[in-house]
Amino acid sequence: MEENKKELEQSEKDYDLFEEKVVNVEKDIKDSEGKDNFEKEKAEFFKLRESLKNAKDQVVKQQGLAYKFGIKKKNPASDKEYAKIEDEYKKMVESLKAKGLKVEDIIKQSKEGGSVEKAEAYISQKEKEVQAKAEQLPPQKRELFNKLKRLAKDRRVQLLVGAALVGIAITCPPAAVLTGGAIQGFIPYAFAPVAKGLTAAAGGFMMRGILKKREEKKQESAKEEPKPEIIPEPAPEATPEPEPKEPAPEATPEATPEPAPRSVPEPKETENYDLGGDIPAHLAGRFGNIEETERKEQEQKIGEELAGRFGNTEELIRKKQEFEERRKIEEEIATEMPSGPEIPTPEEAEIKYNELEEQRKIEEEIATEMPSGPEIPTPEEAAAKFSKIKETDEDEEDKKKEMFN
Amino acid sequence: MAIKNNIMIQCKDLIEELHFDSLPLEKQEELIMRMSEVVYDRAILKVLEVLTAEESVKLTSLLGEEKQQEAGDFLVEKVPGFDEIIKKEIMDFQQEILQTVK
Repeated sequence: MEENKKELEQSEKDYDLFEEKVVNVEKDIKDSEGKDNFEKEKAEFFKLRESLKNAKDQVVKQQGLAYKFGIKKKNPASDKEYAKIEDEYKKMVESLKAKGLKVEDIIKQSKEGGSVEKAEAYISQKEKEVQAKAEQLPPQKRELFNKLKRLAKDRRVQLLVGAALVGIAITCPPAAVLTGGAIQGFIPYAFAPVAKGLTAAAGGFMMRGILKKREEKKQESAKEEPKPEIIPEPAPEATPEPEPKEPAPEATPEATPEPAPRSVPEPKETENYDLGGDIPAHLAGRFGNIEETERKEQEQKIGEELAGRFGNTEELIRKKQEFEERRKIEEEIATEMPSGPEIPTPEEAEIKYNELEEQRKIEEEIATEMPSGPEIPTPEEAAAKFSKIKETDEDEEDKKKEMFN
Repeated sequence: MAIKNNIMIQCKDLIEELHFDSLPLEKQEELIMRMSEVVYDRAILKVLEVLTAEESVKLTSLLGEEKQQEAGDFLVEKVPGFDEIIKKEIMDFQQEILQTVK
């Protein structure tokens, strides 16, 4: 009886232990499932985050000039796509918050978050090292150190170093880097509009501009949209095709748009750009009104040539209307051209340049087709000729009459 | 004034290498500007190692008079391999930070 009781107690203990083990196993299974779910959620979160970033980039890109002027076709689905992904992303963030998770913490655990922390720690360490070394310098050198630091305080010099750190090719005289000499001219063409503000704005802002440009360039090169196909053809002229008398204007060096030195800037040997100066001469005017000035001159010249001449009046009126329309469009473009950091990318500027160049060529063609001075008589000449012919006819008639009489 | 003896600096893109692309621009900017300052300071320290006390005084006075061109010429004359210092500092810094973070 006693033995049976002991066995029963032992069995109960064993059962309790077994039950405990089962509970633990079940808990482990649940934990691992939870972990798996969390990992899945995290992966989904990053995937969605990436999609949101891409969709946003697309929307921002479609706000660019090329789309605004209809040079590139806007995809109407992009806005909807972005709104949809944004909605999904917000829902996911809410669901993570409901589970007591913070989005910031998840990002920190990720690769990018880890890199930032490590990089910041490294930079801090190096800052301390530099500080310690500077404090150990003898007084004269310490003074020079502080002087050079002050020179770079406005970050003009550091901007150049910063640009180099993000992979932008820089060519410059070494002394300029340290003493704050000519810097502006050494920022590559693609970043020149940003660097233009060096004279007025703080370096930090400039660096952001450079980073923004860098990002845009990366996106553009990644997508690689074919440009020439999208550029609309100029409207076909009603005027007859002119004979191919001379080579096309694009063959001339003036008409050929300069290829943008995107990677390596080539500062001219004879040029030295001051920090206080404006954008370098070889860069200036690329986004400006040179074409417009040329066009106005051309228009004025044509106007003068046409004044008082004989010809097809309807044709002349039609062409005048065309000129007017073009002028309005160009004025609109000129007034809408953004300034400062929003200045168009070199690709957009090049498209615009080519477009204006084509218009200029059309105008030139029209101008060459127009009757020129010596070929068409003036009203006075015509009247004189007419009266001369009339006189001759009258003389001949008189002679005939005399002969018959 | 002609610009002579230009140096060409072409390094890796740290934003890409360190996966900072997805960070906000402000954060990218902050990190790059801090890095630039470290590189710049290290380059100055390298130059100061070579200069004597007298030369340092002269250079300070040239810069005080805003004679940047003369100061530049003076540096090139007094610091051998000066043209490579800034380039080397940028390259070294990139290598160090990439090794540390990756």
